[in-house]
Amino acid sequence: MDALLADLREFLANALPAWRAKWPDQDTWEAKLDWQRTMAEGRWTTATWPEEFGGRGLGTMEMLAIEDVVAQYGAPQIPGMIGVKNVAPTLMRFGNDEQRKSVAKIANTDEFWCQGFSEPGAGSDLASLRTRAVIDGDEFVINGQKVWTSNGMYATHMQLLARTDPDAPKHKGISAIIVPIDTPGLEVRPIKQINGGAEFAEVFFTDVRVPVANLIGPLNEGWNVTMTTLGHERAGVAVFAGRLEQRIRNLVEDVTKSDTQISPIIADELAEFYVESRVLGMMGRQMLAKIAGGVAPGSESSVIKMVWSELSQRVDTTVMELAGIDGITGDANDAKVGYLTARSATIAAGTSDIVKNIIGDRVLGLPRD
Amino acid sequence: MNSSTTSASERADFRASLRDFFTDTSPETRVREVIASDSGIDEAAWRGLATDLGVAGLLIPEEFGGQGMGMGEMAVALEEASRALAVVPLLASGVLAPIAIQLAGDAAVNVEVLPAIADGSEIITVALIDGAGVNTVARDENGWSVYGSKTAVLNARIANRILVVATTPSGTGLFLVDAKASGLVITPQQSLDLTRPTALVTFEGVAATRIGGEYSDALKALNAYGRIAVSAELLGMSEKLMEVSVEYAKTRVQFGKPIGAFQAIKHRCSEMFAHVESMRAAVETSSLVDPADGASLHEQSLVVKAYCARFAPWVAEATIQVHGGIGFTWEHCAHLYLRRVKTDEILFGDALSCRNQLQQLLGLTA
Ligand SMILES: Cc1cc2nc3c(=O)[nH]c(=O)nc-3n(C[C@H](O)[C@H](O)[C@H](O)COP(=O)(O)OP(=O)(O)OC[C@H]3O[C@@H](n4cnc5c(N)ncnc54)[C@H](O)[C@@H]3O)c2cc1C
Repeated sequence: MDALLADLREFLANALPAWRAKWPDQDTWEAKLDWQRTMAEGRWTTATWPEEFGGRGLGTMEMLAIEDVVAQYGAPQIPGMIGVKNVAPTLMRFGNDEQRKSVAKIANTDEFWCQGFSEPGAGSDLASLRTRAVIDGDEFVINGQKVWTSNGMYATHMQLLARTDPDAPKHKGISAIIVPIDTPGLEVRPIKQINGGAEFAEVFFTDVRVPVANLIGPLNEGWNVTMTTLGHERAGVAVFAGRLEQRIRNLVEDVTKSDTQISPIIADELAEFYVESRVLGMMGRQMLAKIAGGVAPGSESSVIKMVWSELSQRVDTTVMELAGIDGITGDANDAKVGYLTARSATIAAGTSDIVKNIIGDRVLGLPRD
Repeated sequence: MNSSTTSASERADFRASLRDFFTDTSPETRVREVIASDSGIDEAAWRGLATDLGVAGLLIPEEFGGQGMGMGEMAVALEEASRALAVVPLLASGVLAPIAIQLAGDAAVNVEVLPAIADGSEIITVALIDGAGVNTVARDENGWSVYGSKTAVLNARIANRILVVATTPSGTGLFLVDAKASGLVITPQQSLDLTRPTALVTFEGVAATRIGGEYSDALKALNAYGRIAVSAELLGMSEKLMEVSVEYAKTRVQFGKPIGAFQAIKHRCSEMFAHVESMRAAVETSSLVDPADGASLHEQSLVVKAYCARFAPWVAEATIQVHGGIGFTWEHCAHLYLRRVKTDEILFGDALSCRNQLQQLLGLTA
């Protein structure tokens, strides 16, 4: 492990300055893609993948250590997170040989994937989705609409959830299908977000035809395939926990190093965040240790998601307070954008209310309403 | 002292045997009996803990008749004892006294005192907090004498001896006095916590044995262990309260359905669960910190106590809310826990004071 991290440090010490020099504006999409390619070449984003897929075959603990070091170096997040963390593991597990060819391309950004699950009428109640895929010969004919599709504007492929059996109970008649974004009949429209970005999109399907061979896993088993996908997303919350902990350490350090006078109330808020993020980090490490020991994580991921999302929101609110007048003039742009962006923490990937329902129903066994 | 000498699975077995032990010896009816009897201690439970399970001597090295274990194991014992509201002087005599003595590093005192704690033949408590407006001092007058008063001394009335932290002409010292010594007066207080009575102890020139030398660094470490210990108690009680609340939410019916089906109740229970899991991660992690790493021990103890002291009271209060009227009755167990939780919240510093210390460590305040 020490040797691994020494390698990583050396890699970052060279690659990051080179990348920064190459991209004066590091916020551009091209710059971000380039960083992902750099990280993929080093096999650092794919460290937990088996070697046959271009990974290092490492465990989750190593991955956390890697993420920690990457965060310490202040490296940016890779833009293709959804593909790398969610889609690729699903394809490795459920995909056929042809589909699995995408895995390496997802890593090096040759392919850029999005997940088309939510619909205007199906958000928290995802299983009520209505986008239809009807088999016609050896093709699916898809009609319907998806919404809030992250990276929809940049994607080359979508992992779509569509209803393939309208008569089955709602969780049973859904299939997971690969849809290339350039398929005729598919239209992607950007949706402007409250933070000014347009990172998600709405996607319309009018008689979109894709081969039946694009089915991931068995027909009508899309719910299970997807839950595995989301399961990967949930294990990732442990990494989020570590990142938030590190972020707060950095925030505290920035505040103590700057000349700005902070009120005792803000000082106490920062101490609160410090305490709660440290505890969150401890929970994250316990969860990962469990995974490393071969035990499937249970309720931890829901608890960490709930605590993480609410805490990170509070932190961004305080960062905005710290910015004072600069927060509203935009002179402290990060604070403003961070504050606005943080509103999604309690909505995306299952709202906090839904997470609390899940803990109540599935973990505590409380009666459903 | 070690941090831990057992594996996680051995600690799980230890927990299971303690759970069984307390289920037998310390059901709520028994707890209420002892509280009402005013004896201040469940003799049978304490004897069993000391002699059958070796818990009184868990933190005491084997050469002095103990188990030679660490906070990793003791945290489990504290959780389980508090879960059961056991009326035993575990925190005072099983945790604080052995640690206070060992931190002083006085070979003669170790030999004389530790075996008596380990086998349960003596109860020793620790007097740390000065009475209002008082500075408890020790003067060397042909042997040491202690003057002053200490408040909130746990289990003082049943203690054989008392360890007192007092100001010396040159700094801080740890002193051992006999609870029956002349000049020593124990005045029981109307303690909030019915399971662990406190007292005001006054010293009018009480003859004392000084243990070790300058004690200020040791005192800092003792406080760190104290914070971890009461955090373990807060975890044990919170977990139990969460279970009691969830159970009630499943069975109490209003508007034709169990109240746990209502999200206001369900979400409160889910939040309790999240806090309990957080406390568990924090207690387990901090109880396993290597004692040799003093800075880390100090910092972790502040983090864990700041968390538990803030959220355990929230869980205890939420328990009463989930129960409605029955939760407000003397007959229901919720207040017995709330009382002990609020006491632990204060002992070794409440959340605000822990955060204040963290602010200083982090450089957020001067
Ligand atoms: C930044 C961002 C990125 C996203 N990326 C993607 C993506 O890539 N792909 C994708 O498919 N989707 C994506 N989503 C969609 C996301 O999964 C949904 O927004 C989310 O599941 C909530 O669904 P909804 O928006 O329809 O809200 P609704 O389900 O309508 O919820 C509205 C409110 O009602 C509450 N509510 C709903 N049901 C209950 C209940 N049973 N009990 C209590 N309260 C309830 C919710 O908590 C919420 O407060 C993204 C969303 C965001 C914000």
